Amino acid sequence: MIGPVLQHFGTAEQKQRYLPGIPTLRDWWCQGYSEPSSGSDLASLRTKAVRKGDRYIVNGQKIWTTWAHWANYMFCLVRTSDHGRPQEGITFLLMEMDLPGITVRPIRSLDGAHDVNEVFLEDVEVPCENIVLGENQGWTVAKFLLNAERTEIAGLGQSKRLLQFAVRMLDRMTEQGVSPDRLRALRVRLDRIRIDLKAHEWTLMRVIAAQPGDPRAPSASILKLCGTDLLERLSALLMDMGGPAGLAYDPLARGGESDAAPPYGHVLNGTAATYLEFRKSGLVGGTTEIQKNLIYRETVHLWGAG
Amino acid sequence: MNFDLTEDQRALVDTVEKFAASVIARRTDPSSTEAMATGTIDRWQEMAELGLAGLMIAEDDGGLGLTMAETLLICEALGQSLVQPPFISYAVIAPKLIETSSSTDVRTACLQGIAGGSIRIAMARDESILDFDQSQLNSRVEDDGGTLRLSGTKELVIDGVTATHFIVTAQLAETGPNAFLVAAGQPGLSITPLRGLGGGLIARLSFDAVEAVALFEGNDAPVKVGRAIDHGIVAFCGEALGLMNRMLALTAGYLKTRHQFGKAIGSFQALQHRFADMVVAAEQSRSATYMAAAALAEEDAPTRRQDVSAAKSLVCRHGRAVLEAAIQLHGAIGITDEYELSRYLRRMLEIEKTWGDAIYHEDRFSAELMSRT
Repeated sequence: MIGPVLQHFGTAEQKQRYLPGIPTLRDWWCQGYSEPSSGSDLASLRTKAVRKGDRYIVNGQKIWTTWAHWANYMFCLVRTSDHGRPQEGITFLLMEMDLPGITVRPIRSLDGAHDVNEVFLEDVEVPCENIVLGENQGWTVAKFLLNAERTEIAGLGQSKRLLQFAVRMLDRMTEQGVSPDRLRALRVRLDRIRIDLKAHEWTLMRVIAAQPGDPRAPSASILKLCGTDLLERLSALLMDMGGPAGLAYDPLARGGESDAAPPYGHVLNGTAATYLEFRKSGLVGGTTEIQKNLIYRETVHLWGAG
Repeated sequence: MNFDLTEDQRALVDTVEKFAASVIARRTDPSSTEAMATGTIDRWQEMAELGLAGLMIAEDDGGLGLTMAETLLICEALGQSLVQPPFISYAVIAPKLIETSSSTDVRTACLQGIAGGSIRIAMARDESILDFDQSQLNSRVEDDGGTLRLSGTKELVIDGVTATHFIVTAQLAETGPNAFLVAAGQPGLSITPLRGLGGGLIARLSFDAVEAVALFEGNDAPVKVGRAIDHGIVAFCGEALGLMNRMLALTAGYLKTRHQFGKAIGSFQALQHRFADMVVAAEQSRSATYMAAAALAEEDAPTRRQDVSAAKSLVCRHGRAVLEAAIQLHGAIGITDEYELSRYLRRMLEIEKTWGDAIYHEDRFSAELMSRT
């Protein structure tokens, strides 16, 4: 996410300083976007950065910050102006996570795992050179990044991984003598997902192949929407494949907090864990409803001439 | 048809709601399996003192002699507050089966005890962990000089950890499948507690030549067990109605109070439509559940089984859709462990996986339909 942003908008110094650590995994970045009162309406964000000499003093709160507890850097949207439209007063700021005034508090998800966090910022001092693009230019950067994120959230790799999981589950069920009617019902759903996944992969290739601004290219929002749909259906299929065994779910085994094997093994425990984990798909990176709004806005004029 | 509640029924709902509220007020985070089990038994005793354990048991046998209509009301109220006492196991399935037993001694002794709360019987039928079709029965009972001894393994026994007895299905040499009453705490019986998806306890039972009493003389045990479990299935549908009610209330509140883009999110049409879908799903679930409850009185087993399967499959499908819509309308707060919504989702999944999910009951529905032609 941050790599392409820095390549596109970063200064020479920023590129030199931050880019090398990304592919080597020396640096882990987290994304400081959402706030308690700014979810779908991201531009209403209120975390404030006030300029004081060559530094910004940042105060506010971010939420749903994935892996903030492991990251050593955060890229963050902050408000630097209250004038004009809300989008016009936002700045894209880079900061180190070990700065004084940054507190990370865990949020446990419904599958029992700890992936997301609250990040509190209290008088955090960030050098002005950590701005990307320019003061009050952050919305341009944010939109560029969200678009890249939506390609990532197409989740092709994840879908393929879950598909393999489902195929293995079906084999196991067949070996265990699960009734033919049940197997057939599950196989029909699996095959339908396989078909949709093939189309999804080709849509992704068309998006990647297109030049910027090509009106014939499918919108990245379509990728997000179809990817979400596949992940939701695959994870629900896995939940159903788990059958009665899914009744005994051990969240601690999912969260890696316990050495003990779950009662029916990690694979069956994983069916419920996967379903619970992927309830987030329709929400992360812009909800399904927001994606539909975007698709409408991006496409209706292309078709509306007749 | 009259769907209005009588004054007695309203009083019953009131009692259960008060009970549920007091349970929630006293709820602590259970530290250990033992503490959870003790808490469950204590709460069950309180329900018994309110007369709820013997709700479906005839007045002559120490119960209230009430019907499935009242059972549904109780389950719905419990579901709404997400208090999960072992009501369906101990007060619905067990007495519904025991009352059909050929043994007068078993009937008299058990029904009184169930109504009083001292006897808590869990149904141990399932052996397959990957299929809801449990027709393959490997547990066996041998006649050991007049004493019946049961051996085998039973998986995923709902409310088994806190039971005083089990009803166990097994093959009796020569006469075929039967159901047996087995007291807990006997040598040869080991109970492994498992943490359930909804946070409660489920048991895995292993029997090694454990003394057992046959419930039936003839060969109609599978039919009778099926009928008792069908009562349980409809009761679970009732609980699901309660879960859906709570989701509607929670979501309606959120749509009105959460603001984005300068207005309540409930003012966006896309979200209104999703909410309307939830309402429709909940109403259809209610209708199907009432239909199945009426069908339980049917003498004709295929008709009963058809309607019960229709209800369970529909409620599983719609229940999950309601929960998923509630999450979508809440946004990220809906997928946190801390917020109550996530516990309702896990409970809905548990209900789906108890006594057959949507796929299983669609298959059973269609099998019953075909058996007609």
